[in-house]
Amino acid sequence: MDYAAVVAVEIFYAVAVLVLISAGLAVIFGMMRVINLAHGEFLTLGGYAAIVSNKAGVNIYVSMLVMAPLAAALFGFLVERLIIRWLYGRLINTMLATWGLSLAMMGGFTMIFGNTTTGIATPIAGFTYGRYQLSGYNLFVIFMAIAVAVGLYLMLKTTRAGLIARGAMQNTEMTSAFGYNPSRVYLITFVAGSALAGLAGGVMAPLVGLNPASGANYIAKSFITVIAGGASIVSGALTSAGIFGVISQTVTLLSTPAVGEIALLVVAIILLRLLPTGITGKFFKGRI
Amino acid sequence: MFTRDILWPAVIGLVLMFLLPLVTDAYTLTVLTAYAMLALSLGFIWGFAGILCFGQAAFFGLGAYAFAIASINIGTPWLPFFIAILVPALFAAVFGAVLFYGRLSDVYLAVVTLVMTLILFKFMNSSAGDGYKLGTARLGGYNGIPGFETLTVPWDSSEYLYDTSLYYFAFLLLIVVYICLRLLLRQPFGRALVGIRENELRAELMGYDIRLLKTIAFSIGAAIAGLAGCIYANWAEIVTPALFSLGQSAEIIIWVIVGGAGTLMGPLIGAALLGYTKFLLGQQSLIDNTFILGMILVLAVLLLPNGIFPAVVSIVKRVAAKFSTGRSPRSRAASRRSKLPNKTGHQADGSNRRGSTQSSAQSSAQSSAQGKSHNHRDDDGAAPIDRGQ
Amino acid sequence: MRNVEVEVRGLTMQFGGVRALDQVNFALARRELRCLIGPNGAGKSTFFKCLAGLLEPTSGEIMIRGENTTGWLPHRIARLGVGIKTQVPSVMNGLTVRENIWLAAKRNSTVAEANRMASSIAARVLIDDVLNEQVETLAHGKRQLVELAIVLAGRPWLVLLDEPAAGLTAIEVDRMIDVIRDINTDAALIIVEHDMHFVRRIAKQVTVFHQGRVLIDEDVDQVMSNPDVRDVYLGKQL
Repeated sequence: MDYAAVVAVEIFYAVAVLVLISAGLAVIFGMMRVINLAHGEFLTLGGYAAIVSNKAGVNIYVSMLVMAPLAAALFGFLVERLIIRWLYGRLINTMLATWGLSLAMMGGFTMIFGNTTTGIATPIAGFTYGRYQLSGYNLFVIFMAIAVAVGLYLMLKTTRAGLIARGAMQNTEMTSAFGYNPSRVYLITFVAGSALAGLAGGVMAPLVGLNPASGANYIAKSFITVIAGGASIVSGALTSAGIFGVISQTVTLLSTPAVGEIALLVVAIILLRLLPTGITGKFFKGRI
Repeated sequence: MFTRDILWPAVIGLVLMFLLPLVTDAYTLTVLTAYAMLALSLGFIWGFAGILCFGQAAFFGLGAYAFAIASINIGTPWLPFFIAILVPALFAAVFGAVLFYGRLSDVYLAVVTLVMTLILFKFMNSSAGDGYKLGTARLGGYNGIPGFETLTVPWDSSEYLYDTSLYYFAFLLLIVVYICLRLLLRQPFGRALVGIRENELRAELMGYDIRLLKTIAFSIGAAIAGLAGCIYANWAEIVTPALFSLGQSAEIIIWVIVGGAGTLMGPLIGAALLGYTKFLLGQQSLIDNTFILGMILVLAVLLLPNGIFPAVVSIVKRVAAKFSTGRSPRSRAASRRSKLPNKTGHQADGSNRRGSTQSSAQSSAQSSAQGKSHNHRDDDGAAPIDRGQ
Repeated sequence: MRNVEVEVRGLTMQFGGVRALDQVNFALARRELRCLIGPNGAGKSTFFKCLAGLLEPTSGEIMIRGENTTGWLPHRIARLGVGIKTQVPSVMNGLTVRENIWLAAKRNSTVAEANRMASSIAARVLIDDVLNEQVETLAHGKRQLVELAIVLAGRPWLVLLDEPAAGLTAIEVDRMIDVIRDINTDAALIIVEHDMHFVRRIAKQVTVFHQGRVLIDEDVDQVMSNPDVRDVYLGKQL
């Protein structure tokens, strides 16, 4: 019984991580049809921001929840103005340019932080449940993932900005016809997506040893979660994160983490082959 | 045809082969030749068949691993040499058939090939231990496979192809592959590939089975990448999972983009130049190598979507046209504007088009491209056009 | 009808809640020239795409020369000897006119034959003056003709044309009509067209689509004088 509960938490946690690390990419892909291959490095940037500010004496929660998204958002602003903006509508070129950005950021991290692994301690202590030791921080990650998903949903569904964003998703020309500058909508979207990536990177920072190449661990997972999810931001990311999280965690528990990750990727390829427009392209068309 | 496609490339190639050792040592040149071969493989499938593979490194790595594993198991190196070409080709044929018969659009193709590379990378990295053995070869996980028999002179199995001799062997192979590709592109098959790159729908309406043709092209590209991997394995005398890494895949794309997709010569030049630059940069520690590579890719996509080689060719042509009487170079810009709606036309109404899995992402990206076309430069690096070789 | 080459039975196409085609029956005789007309959204283009293999119908059957081609991919339909010209000129922009025609001809000829055909077909549709130009440099009207040449290079016995006169100048329309008559000497044609004036000049038999159904299938003069057709075009409800 205890074991079942522990397994359930582990699986929820795996899903939560996927939701968290994919949210920013999902926003950018869902609304702008831009695949940001440097997403992993945006997460890493958030992680470094959290670690650096925490080491400078800032409160850990402020570092993770404020400084990390802020740093990524500022950087996202620059990237949108300097790179993405020139490539809208050219999906492949955007992917290539952001791939280059990803390498450049990786190199930049190496130059600034050195090719070493840094980290900060988890701010929440573990606790025992029955005969098992549970990580309190994992529960915090689950909570954050739920907060991000609910927050995104409410934002898109109930606010004016969300309405404009949904309009832009459906039809760019209409948005401009209604008097909203699409270039502005895109900028805000990209910055918001970057901030979410930074937030995820900050929240994940205490869990992983951060090094300049850490982004590579995130990008594949977040990438396929979003692509497999399809065009609908929230429901797409949630369903595919659900499927992938359950599968990879189950396989991980049965064998090793590496096999779990491979299983996740194999399922992703099969899924993409069967549903080339993503899960939501098939089942939740037109929702958010 | 003989002079243009065989004689000149052979002569120029041979001259280069003997001149290059004056610039740098054979050891460096061998790996640059392997890189050039790898760039050629992507240059072929991307530039001429319009297949953008984000995971060409997978076939490179497969070729290298196939050689190492076969060499350990068999003991002599020449059968493994062919296995190293065959294994990636077969893998690509099966994998490509799954993708192309499923009609994945270019974006999804990029995603799936990238993920496939990651799978191989993760698998090879986690293959340490006695459980992971193919015949007598241990996969070795992160540390890779060292200590396999490398290529020997075919008529004397005690004489290894090493350093200078390996360089000449690799360079000769490169010349042969280059000439073969040029000849292939003159064949109806090669022309049909270019037709598919130009307009899939039209090629299909002409009666060409684009799924089959793309699968074959993909497999040929993988065979060449496997050959490059084999040369690399002989040069390094060890194979490691890093061959499958995302960075390696990115590098191949960078070579092709910088050199110029849509030509065969461009990728070769791109690989040689950037490979050599990387080698020089490796000797300093002020600026990180990856940083520079990344910036090159970003700048190339933004500023030189057609690559250096075609840009140089078009400048040369323009200058030449000034001196010769008559024809001035045609303006492409005017006609390109009409190209965009055309492409949009048959893709945007594809949301219900059967078979074609143009994703909704694709079609809306296309339509937004149409709406905002004044923002773009009129050229799309993803659909390069043959600008002479 | 004798010599039926294309027979469509009960063709239905459903897009979500919209029924674009509703139980359409259709038959085309050997070497017949048939125009499909109707207001926007009447279903004629959907019908065309189903014939060409660009759409898979929800239900119904398409028989071309005795083969049940329902659900076939376009390349298989093309290989039966069906030439297809889409609404927006679908040509290979980066290649020359000659290369475009050559590729189409090579599908079922030898290299030597294809070389010969490239020149002769270009002459037939009067674009031999631009044979070595890149297609993307040509004006819209010329590109329409290039696509027609591509279609002819496959030596079709059935040609499907979607709005061949769209965007052409008066002179180009005359030229297009000559080419269509020329094709019709040894091949059947199905032409989707908006322009009633153009239809009047080429058609013998006309099929009128309305709201996904065939409204009337008659001789061109009778169709033109039919009050129902006039109402449909003026937007009156039936």
